[in-house]
Amino acid sequence: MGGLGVHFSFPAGRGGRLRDGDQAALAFVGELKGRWDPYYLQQTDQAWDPIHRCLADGTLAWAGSDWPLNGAILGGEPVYLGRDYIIMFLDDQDVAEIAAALDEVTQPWFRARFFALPAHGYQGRTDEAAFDYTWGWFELMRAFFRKSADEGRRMVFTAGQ
Amino acid sequence: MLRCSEADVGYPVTHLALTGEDAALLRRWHASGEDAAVLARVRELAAGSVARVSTDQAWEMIRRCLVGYHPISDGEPVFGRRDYLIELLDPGAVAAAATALAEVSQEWLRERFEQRLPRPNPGPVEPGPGPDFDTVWACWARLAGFFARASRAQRYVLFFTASRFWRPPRRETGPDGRTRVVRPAYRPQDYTVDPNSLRSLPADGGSWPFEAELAERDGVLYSWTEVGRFIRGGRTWVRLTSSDSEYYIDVENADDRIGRIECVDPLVAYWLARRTDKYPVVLED
Repeated sequence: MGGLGVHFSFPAGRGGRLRDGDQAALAFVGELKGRWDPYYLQQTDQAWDPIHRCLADGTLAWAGSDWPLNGAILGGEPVYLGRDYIIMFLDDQDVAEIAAALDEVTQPWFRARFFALPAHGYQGRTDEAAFDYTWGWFELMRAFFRKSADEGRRMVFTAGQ
Repeated sequence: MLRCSEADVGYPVTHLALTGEDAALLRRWHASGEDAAVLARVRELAAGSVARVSTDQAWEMIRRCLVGYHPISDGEPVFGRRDYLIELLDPGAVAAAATALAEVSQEWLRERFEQRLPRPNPGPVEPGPGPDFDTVWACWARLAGFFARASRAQRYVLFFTASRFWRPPRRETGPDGRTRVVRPAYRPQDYTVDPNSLRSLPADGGSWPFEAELAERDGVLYSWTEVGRFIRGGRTWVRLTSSDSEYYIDVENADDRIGRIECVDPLVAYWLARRTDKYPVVLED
């Protein structure tokens, strides 16, 4: 998967249209992208793939491993069913639970999971530079979850495939 | 090698075109001390469909170039707190600003831009590169177009940006009698490294072994507090914070000397600061 990952947050009262089908979900995300408010979005570049694998069961399975850590990237509610794009929705309660779980992730734990990824079929790089890249984006994503949870916001995660 | 790029974030700087009714409402709320209502309404307007222009990271250079020519952000304050600047320009001031902006040529602005580039930071950590002239000129042109349209429509213009004052969290007793932390909602400015705090850090590796710089009373890192260690690029880094602040730096142990020094991204600094909260937290606007 080579797309770039972005989390967008929005107020708890919004996002109802996300469940109205693929076109409605795309339109909602299109609005968020059009606004591109850096205060309310966090990019993860291409690191979302290894980040999800580290937080889940080493694979890109939608529901791999346990909630809430597996929810940060691909564990929310899929609201777009096309094969070209990923849109996962997290309500404010989900965001709070995931933020609390991410708070407890340590670099040694994440590091051990990262360097074990080849055993789960991951074909990306797993050297020190790739780890630094992945951990750097993870730290930003985790902080964005904390901020969003503190502000009681919902999120969508989006990526091209 | 020293660098500091992550923390040198821009901050939202927006000009909004307002009707007379909206302007009157903001003035009335401000006059009656309802600053929270002012901020909420301005945020609502900024997220809505009113005409606006955002200059963000280019604003600081635009502001510098305007000094001594025609400052366009010195309007009537309609917000009494220190954390945001919210100022109103009436239609007369908008018209004057529109004329002043329209009369500027690219050559004139380029000359000012080059004269007014910021000086290097004190100390060894330099900010990342600011916007180049082409970016500033493009923002200037958008700003000029915005003011021209606002002037033709007889609109007020609202200048809205966060201030650079740090807003520290505080402890207080909640309604239930228990201690709680009242923390302002996240703004990058509150977690961005103050360049002056880095003034005394060495650019050449220092003169003592790394651990001595941290632990000895005369060490250059002694006044900083260690909050953690981690591995990056195969080397050990120490994460430090300064007392009476909530920003952080990462310092590399390079062959037992001080190596690279990097400012921690403000969003990550917010996360770190939140981890130190020992009581339930209430966010305030």
